[in-house]
Amino acid sequence: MSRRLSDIPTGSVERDAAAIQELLQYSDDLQIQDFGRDCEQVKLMFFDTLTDSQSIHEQVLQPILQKPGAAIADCLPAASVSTVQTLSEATSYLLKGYVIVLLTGQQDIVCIAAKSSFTRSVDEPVNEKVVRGAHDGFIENLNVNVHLVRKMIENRQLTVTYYTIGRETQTRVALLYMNNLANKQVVQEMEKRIQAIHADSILGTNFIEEYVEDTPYSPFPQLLSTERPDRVTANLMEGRVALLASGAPTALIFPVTFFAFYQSPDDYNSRWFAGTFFRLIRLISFFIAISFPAIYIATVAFRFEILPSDLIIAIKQSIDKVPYPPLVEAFIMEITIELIREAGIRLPSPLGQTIGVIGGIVIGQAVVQASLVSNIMVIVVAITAIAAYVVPSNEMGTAVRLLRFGFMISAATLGLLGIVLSFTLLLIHLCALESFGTPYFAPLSTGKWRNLKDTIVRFPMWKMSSRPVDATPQRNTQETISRGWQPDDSRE
Amino acid sequence: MKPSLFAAGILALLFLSGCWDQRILKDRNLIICIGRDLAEEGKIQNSFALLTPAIKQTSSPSSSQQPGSGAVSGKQKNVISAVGDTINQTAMMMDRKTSETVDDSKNQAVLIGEKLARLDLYSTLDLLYRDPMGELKAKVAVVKGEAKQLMEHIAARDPLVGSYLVELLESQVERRIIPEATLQSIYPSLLEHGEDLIIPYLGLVDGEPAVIGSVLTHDKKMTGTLTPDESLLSMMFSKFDLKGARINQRIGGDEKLRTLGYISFLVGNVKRKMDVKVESSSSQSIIVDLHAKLKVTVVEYPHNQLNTEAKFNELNRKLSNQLTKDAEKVLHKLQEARCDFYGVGRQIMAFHPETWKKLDWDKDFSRISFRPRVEVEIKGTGLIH
Repeated sequence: MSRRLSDIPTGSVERDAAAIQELLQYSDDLQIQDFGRDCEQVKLMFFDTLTDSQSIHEQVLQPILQKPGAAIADCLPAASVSTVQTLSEATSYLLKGYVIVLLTGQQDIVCIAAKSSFTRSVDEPVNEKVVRGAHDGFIENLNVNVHLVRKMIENRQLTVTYYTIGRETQTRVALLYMNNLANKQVVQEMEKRIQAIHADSILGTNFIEEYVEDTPYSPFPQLLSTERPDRVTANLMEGRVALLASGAPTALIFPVTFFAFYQSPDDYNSRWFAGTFFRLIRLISFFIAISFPAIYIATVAFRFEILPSDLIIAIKQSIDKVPYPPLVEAFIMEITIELIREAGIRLPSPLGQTIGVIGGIVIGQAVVQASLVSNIMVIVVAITAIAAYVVPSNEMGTAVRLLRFGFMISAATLGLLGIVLSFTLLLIHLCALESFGTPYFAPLSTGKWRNLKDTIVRFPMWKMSSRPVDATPQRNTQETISRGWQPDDSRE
Repeated sequence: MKPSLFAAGILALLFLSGCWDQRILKDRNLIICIGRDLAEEGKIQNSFALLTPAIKQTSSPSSSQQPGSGAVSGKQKNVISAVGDTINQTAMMMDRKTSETVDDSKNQAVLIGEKLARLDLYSTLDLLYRDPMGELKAKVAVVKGEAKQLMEHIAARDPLVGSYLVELLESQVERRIIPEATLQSIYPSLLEHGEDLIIPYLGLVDGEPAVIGSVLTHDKKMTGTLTPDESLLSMMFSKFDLKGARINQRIGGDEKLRTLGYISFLVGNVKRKMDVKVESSSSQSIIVDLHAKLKVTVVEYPHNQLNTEAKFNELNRKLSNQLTKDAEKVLHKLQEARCDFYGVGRQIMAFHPETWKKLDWDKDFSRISFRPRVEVEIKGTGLIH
C-alpha cells in the first residue's frame, strides 16, 4: 500500500525526483537539470543515453523558456507531449527516451519525446540478396520496419497490432495483416499464442518462433523468416500475417507451406520463364541436398550394378585405395564441409577467403591424394553442399543439411531400400505437418492442383487470377482481366 | 510398452542387424569379360578378365613404363582361367586365385570359343542368364579359335577387355555388319522354334582382334559362318535396321585401276517384305519371296558422271541385279547351315499349321526355295555425312 501511495507525485519537485531516482536504481545516466521559471522550480529528468541533447534543447528548453507565462504543456508541440499522473508511468516514459518535466505544486508530470535514434540504414540484407527488385531490408528498429511495409501498402486495411512480451525485456511485437484478406482465425490464434508467452526475455523473432510453432520437434521451420520488406508485403497481400519484433531485423510470416521456403522475390522480379526455371532448380536442389550422399553410399555399398560400366571403372579406381567403408568416408567429408562453413561464418571477412582456399585445396586435393577420401566422394559432397545453399531460406537449408545425415545412415544400413524408407517417412511427416491450421505440404498433400500455379512453377502473373488458397484468405480474386486489351482469341 | 523402449528396439534392429547384405564395391573384383572354351575330355575352360588388375595397370602408367624387368612379370594377371567339369566349379577355382571376391554383375561381354559353340550355346549361357545379379546387357560373340587367347590378346593392349570388346562390336553393329547380340536378346531366342539367330564372330586378323563376320546358329548351336559382306547382305531381309550400312560393289569391267570398277554407297531407308507361299505340304513347294527395296546414296563413284537419268537407271539396274545374285548365295549358305534367320518356320507355323505338322524343319528348311529380289534406287550423290 505504501508503494501505491508514493507512486503519486507529491508536488514537491525534490521529493518526486528522488522517488523517480529510486525507482530507476540511481542509475548514473539519469540526468537531472534544475532551472527556475517564473520563480517556480523546474526539474528536467531524462536519460542522456536515450535522448538527443539537441532535440531537448530545441523542443523542450527553448519553448519553455520563450513563453514564460504559459502553462508548460501549452508551450510544447502537442504531438510529442503526454501527461501522466503516476511516477511509475513517468519512469516507463523515461525508459522510452522521453524527457519528463517536474514542476512545483503540480501533480501532473509532463513527458516530452526527445528520443535519440541510432539506426543503421535500410540496406539490402546480406543473406537474402536479389538480382532485381527492391534493395531495402529490415533493421533493428520496429517503427522503421513497420514504416517500410506501410510505405509499400498504402491501404487502410493494413492493420498493425502491438503487443509487449518478455517480462523483463518488454519487447514490443507488431502483428501486421490485411484486415480484409487475412484469415481472422489465424490472427486470433497467433494473438492467443503470443499472449501465452511468459518468458523473461524475448530477444529477436526466433524466440517467438520457438514459442508459437505448431510442431517444435519437426526439423522443418513452420514460420518463414525474412529480412525483406517486399517479401513481407507480397505475403500480406496473399492473406498471410507477419510478425515483427523490436530489436530484430526479421519478420516471421505465417501460415506458410513447404514451398514458400523455396520461393524468392527474384521469381517475381524476373520473367516467368526464368522464375519457373529457378524454382525447378531449387526443388531439384532439395532432392540433391537431402539424398545425394545417401545415394552414393547405397550405390557403392549395395547396388553398384546400377552404374554404367564406364562410370564404375572410374569410381572403383578412386575408392579402391580408401581405407574406410563408404559411410565413414561420407561422414568425414560432410563434417569437414560443415566445419569449413561454420568457420567461414565466424571468421572476419579477410580471413574467410583463407578458409576457402584451405578448404578448397587442402581438403579437396590433398585428402584425395592421401587416399583418405575418394575424389568421387569429394565431388558428391561438393555438389551436395552447393545444393544445400541454393535454398533461399537459411532455416530450411539447415533442416535439409541435418536430414541428410539421417538419410546417409539409413542408406548405409539398408541401401536403396533405406533411402526409399527415409523418403517415405519424410513424406508422411510433411503431409502431417501444419502451420497455423494450414497443411504444410499443400498443394501436394491436399491435391488442390490449382495452387501449383505458384508453388512448384510460377505461372505468368495474368494467369494467377486467384490467391493461393493455402493461407485461406477472405477474398480469393487478386487479379481480373489485366490483359483485357488483347483480342479474345489470343487470350486464354 | 514405453515409447522410448520401442524406439530403442527399432534402432537396435536397424543397427545391430549390421551390414549383412552389403556388397562394397571396393572389395569386389569385377569381371569385365567372360570367356568359355571347350577343354580336353569335354571339360569347360572358363576365363575371366578382371577389373582390379586392369585398374592397377592403368592408374600407374609410370611404374609400368619403367624399364625394369620385375614390374612386368610381377604384375597381377588380367585374364585368369580355370578348367573344370562344370562352370560353377571353374568359377570357384578362379575365385580362389583372386584377391577380392569376383562379381559378374558388371560383366560386359561373353565370348564363346568356336569348338564349344559348335557343341552347345544354351548350357554355356544358362548360368549367366539366370543369375539375378548378372548383367543381361553383356554382349555375346563367338570366337574363332580360343576365347581365352583372344581375351589375353586384347588384355595385352587394353586392360579394359570388356569395354574394348563392347566398342568393337558396337561399331560394327553401327555399320550393320552384325546384328546386336546381348545375353538378353540371345538366350531366350535360343529356345525359339522356327527362328534362328546370327551372332557376331570375332577373330584375329593380322594379329588384330576384329569382327570377322557372323556365326549362324541352329538348334542351340553354331552351324556355320558368314563373311562380313555376306553378313550384311543377310541382314537386308531381316528385322534388323540397315540404315547407315556401306556397301562396296564391283560393277565395271577390267579397268587398269581397280578402284574405277567399283561403286560404294550408303544405305538409307529399306523397305522389306517377306512372303511365304505354300502350295502343297511338300517342302519343295514352299516358296519364300524376299523383297528389299534400298534407297541409297552414292559415296564413291570414281567416274564421277552421275548426271543423266539414263546413267542412274543403268546403275540402279546393275546394282539390283548384282545384289540379288549375292543375296542368293548368302541364302544358300543360310540354308546349308539350316539357320532360319528370317523366321520362315514361324510363318508356316502360324499360317499353315497343317503343313508344319508334316514337315521335318531341320531337314526341310534346306529344301525350300528362296526368291530374293533386291531393288536399289539411288537417291543422292551429294555430300557424304
